[in-house]
Amino acid sequence: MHRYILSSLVAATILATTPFPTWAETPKDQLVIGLSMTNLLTLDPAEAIGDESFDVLNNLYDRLVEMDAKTPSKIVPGLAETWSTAPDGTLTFTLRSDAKFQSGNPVTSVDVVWSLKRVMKLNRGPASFMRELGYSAESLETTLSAPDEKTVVLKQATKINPEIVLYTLARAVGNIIDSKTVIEHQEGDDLGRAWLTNNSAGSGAFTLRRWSANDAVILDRNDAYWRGQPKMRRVVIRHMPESQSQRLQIENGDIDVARSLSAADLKAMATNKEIKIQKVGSGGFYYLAVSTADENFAKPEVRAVLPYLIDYDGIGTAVIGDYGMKRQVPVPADYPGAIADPGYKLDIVKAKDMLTKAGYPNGFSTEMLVLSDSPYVDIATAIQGSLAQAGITVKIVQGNGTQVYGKMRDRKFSMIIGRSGGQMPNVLGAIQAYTSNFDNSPQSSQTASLAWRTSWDIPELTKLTSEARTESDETKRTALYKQIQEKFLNSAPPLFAVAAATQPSAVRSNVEALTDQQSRSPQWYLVSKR
Amino acid sequence: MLHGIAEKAGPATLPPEVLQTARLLSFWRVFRTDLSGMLGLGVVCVLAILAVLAPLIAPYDPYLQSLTSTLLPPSAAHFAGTDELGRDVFSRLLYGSRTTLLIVVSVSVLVAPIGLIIGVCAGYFGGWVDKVLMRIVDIFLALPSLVLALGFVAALGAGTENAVLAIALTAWPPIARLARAETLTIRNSDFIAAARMYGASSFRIIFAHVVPLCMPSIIVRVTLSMAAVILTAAGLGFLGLGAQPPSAEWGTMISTGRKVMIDHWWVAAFPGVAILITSLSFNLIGDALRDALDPRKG
Amino acid sequence: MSAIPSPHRDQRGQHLRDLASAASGPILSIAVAFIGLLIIIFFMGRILPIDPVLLIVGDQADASTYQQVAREMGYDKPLIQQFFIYAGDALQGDFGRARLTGNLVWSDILQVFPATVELATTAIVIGALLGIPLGVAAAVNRGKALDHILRIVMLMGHSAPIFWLGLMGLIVFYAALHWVGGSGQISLYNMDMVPRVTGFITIDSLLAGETEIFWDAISHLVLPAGILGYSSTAFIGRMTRSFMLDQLTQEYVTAARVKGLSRRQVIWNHAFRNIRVQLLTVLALAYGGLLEGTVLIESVFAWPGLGQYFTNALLIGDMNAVMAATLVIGSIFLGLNLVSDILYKILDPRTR
Repeated sequence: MHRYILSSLVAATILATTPFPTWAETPKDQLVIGLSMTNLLTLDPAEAIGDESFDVLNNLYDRLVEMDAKTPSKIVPGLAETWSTAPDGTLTFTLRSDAKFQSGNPVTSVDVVWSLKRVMKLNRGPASFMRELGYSAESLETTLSAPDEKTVVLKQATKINPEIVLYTLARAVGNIIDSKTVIEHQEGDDLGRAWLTNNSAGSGAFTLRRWSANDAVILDRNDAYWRGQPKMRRVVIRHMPESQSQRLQIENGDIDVARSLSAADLKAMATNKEIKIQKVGSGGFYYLAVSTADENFAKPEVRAVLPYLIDYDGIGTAVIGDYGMKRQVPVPADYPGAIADPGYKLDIVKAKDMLTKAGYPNGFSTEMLVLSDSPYVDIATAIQGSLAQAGITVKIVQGNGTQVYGKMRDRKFSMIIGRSGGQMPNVLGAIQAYTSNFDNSPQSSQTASLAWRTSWDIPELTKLTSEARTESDETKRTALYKQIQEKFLNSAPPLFAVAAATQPSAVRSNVEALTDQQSRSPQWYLVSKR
Repeated sequence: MLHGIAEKAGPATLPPEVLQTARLLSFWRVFRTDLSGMLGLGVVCVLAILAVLAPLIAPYDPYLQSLTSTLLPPSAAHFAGTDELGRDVFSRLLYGSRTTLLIVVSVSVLVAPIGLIIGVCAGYFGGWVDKVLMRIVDIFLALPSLVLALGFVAALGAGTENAVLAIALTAWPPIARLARAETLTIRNSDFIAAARMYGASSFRIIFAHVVPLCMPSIIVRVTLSMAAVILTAAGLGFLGLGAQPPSAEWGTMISTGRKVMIDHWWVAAFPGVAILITSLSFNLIGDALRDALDPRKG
Repeated sequence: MSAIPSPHRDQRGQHLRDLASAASGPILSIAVAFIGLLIIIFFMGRILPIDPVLLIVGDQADASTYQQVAREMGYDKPLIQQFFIYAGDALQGDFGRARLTGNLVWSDILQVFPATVELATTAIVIGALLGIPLGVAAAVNRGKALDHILRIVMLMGHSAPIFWLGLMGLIVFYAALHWVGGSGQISLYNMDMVPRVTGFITIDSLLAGETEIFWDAISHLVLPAGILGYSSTAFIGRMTRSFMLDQLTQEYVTAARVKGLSRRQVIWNHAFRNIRVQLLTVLALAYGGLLEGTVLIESVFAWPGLGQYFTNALLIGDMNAVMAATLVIGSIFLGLNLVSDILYKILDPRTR
């Protein structure tokens, strides 16, 4: 009997531990990417909202104009070979003649008009970006036209700096869809929505082979891509929500790119010669927001204390790592027209003193909402620690995106740690959510505005921000930018930039032409492997 | 598994209370001889003492962050190292035992009466009351408890209290079933008939006679599920739906520890060992209890 | 909390009637349970602190988009009306589209289900291979040191948090030793390389003649299945031990020994033979218990199965998907319980 147990134990051990061949590298013609796909909910360009969807869409579709891979603030030709701006702001695009969709259909002005109108007709998340430019499904009928097969004309709906229009068209909203193919797959009047969720109909370097939500996206090469055949035969993207699992796999050579690594893991891999770390500025910010509708934070004196209770240096080095850079103004420091940091420092004594003067000698208790992801929780815990030293007891409540931002949109919160988008690579794109609030009533349509969400009524700042949007003279615009940033800092804002958000990723060193790309969504057709 | 209890409760010839006491005594005599069961009981006792004395024993404040001493490996100063915010893992483990035991006790306190009352009512009244109540039990039993608990806690919102509620909501049906089975055997006994003849109300019979008789087996059954409660709580914590940071809860500690697991194994390893030991001890007690109740298999 | 069988309910009534109700009762139960689930899950979905509309339109959407989508999804109607629309569709077998994938929920589930079956089946095989011999050994050595040691070894698998075992296993066997493949069902570059026939990647790769992919799949399967299997060992082993003890105390065992049969012959040829059917019912129940383990282990190993689908759907409040996944898990659970109940009633001499 004992012998049997022994032998079965041995057998079981062998069974459970037999070494299997594990390959050290992925094949040369496949790019394998690990990232957290929780925000990838659709691959329809008119619906997609998350950065992860943009990464994929960027390689399935082309846009009229694109942001340069190395210098994202530079607009470069995409499907439009050239374009011109009339004095009234009307943009006229001339399409390339050699671009074809993956179906073989040529890319025509009809597709461009159809694609942009489709965004507005479906009226999903991305439509907001067009509406910010003053467009609606109705107004596009008169402002957007195709005089001939290769020409597209876009008139202005409201007076706006044309550069902003170009930036918007270069984003996912401006992805051009093969209208013929999609109309074939239309169900009822859904404009191909059901079909496009899982299929692609673009002119991009890759075609969609399979997408399984929260599992994998697999792309096949578009051999007839108009910019030349991509070097990668397949791109495999795998949902890997945990940073450590991404790190294990990239260190083992099972994936080539890891896109959602924690600060600590990035740091640990910094010395690994087989892996390069890439940091891309996002234009967005990690922020601390407090509601001015909250009884404690309604007082400007209380809000004024907060900059002295954020350990900017500690967060910048120990907590946030490659996820951000120390910055106290919600505008990236390298943008033209950005002002210097005001130089806040963690100062408990001063903060306590200010709190006492504001009528809170013993501090108070409050609640902080935070996304349960890295690095949000880490930032929240760090701020919780420093606030506690000044007597402010903070209870951290974690939640997912809709929970946290849902409460914020309902304007029902005390404190939130969140991240702002950075819609355009310029001062305005970075700061407008902080400084624009047209209508502080609960019925306002400007629900994306952080100022509105914190119930912060700022008519003057709002007016300055609108002026900057319409101003097409660069010198005047830069002056306005400065004025907006300074006024923002001096108005005891309920919004505090904690750090400039960067998008870090780790890349195996045999992967070429990826780490030198600086745009948020890389172009995979450029990538090759050694 | 517990039919043993129901069978032995059988038609009573002695006064039921006497029978109960005798049953418990003989039961303890069997249990006492079970080596691994006693080991489990010993560990749980030590754990309870540690939990109560945690503020006195813990070398550090479990919530005190120190960004200058993060992720230190185990040493004489920090027996189990420090975590990503520089908190002492050993102290957090000690405080975590409080959370865990608190969850176990609260779930038990919630579940026992709910299961007992539903089961006794179903068993005592029979008929449609029984049918309806047992159908509800069936619905709950139709799903793995973790799946149900996940659903409830997602609906109620994450947090220790809600985790307790969610686990309790999924843990009462087996208890109700047992209480019903017990009641069925008691209902037809002579002394209940006697009580009825003296004109005692249903309410009185249930609470004065049936419930006390069911109690011992219910308590045993609750003990049996404690290990499972610990694991479910840890699982919820691990998925981010249990106790919330910065509170020290073992499952939550593993969940945050996994973020630094490759280079700093101790942050996730020790809470896992703590769960393992605790849940193993409860399981050993449970195993011994089952054997003691069913000596044929001991 | 693995399933613990409760073979004896009421022992009143006649055996035949019992058998009839054994078949019809559970079916009625399933029907009632189904409606109960519909109600619970619908209202759970509505009180979830997750805004499904915001999930679709995104944080930066403005109010007009938000309201349009809310209207399209029927969220502007009264709650009761929403429920009847939902229940009506569900009763016709239409669980709608998963919010996450935009696909019909059923097609999603068909997509992910084989992965879970593959994992759980391998696990139950491992669990049986470990649990049954250990249980027999414990029974034979009842009360001795080996009995206690085996009990503790088996109970450890049941007591350790399964997600923690998974994490530690990955660190040791994948990261440090390189013995097994990492998370996922297969190496990423091998994904979608063999045509999907059965959905079981091991079988599909063999059908396609890709032995390299087959071994790749096995190397990914071993660790999660081993851990799941180990976790079910305690239950299987305990039941085996107790069934064996029943047999070993019977008279025929002593008689056989007196007749001069060897200990081993008595144990395996007589006692074990008699408990095989009982063990089948135990394995059926253990399999149900494994479904629960898959929820956590799939999350740790990024296993593209039903457990992960369920957790993901739940975390974003995709109630259509949660509902269908719950029903599938629930039906399997009920089905396995039913099978083991019926087996028990038919085969157990004591209830006969």
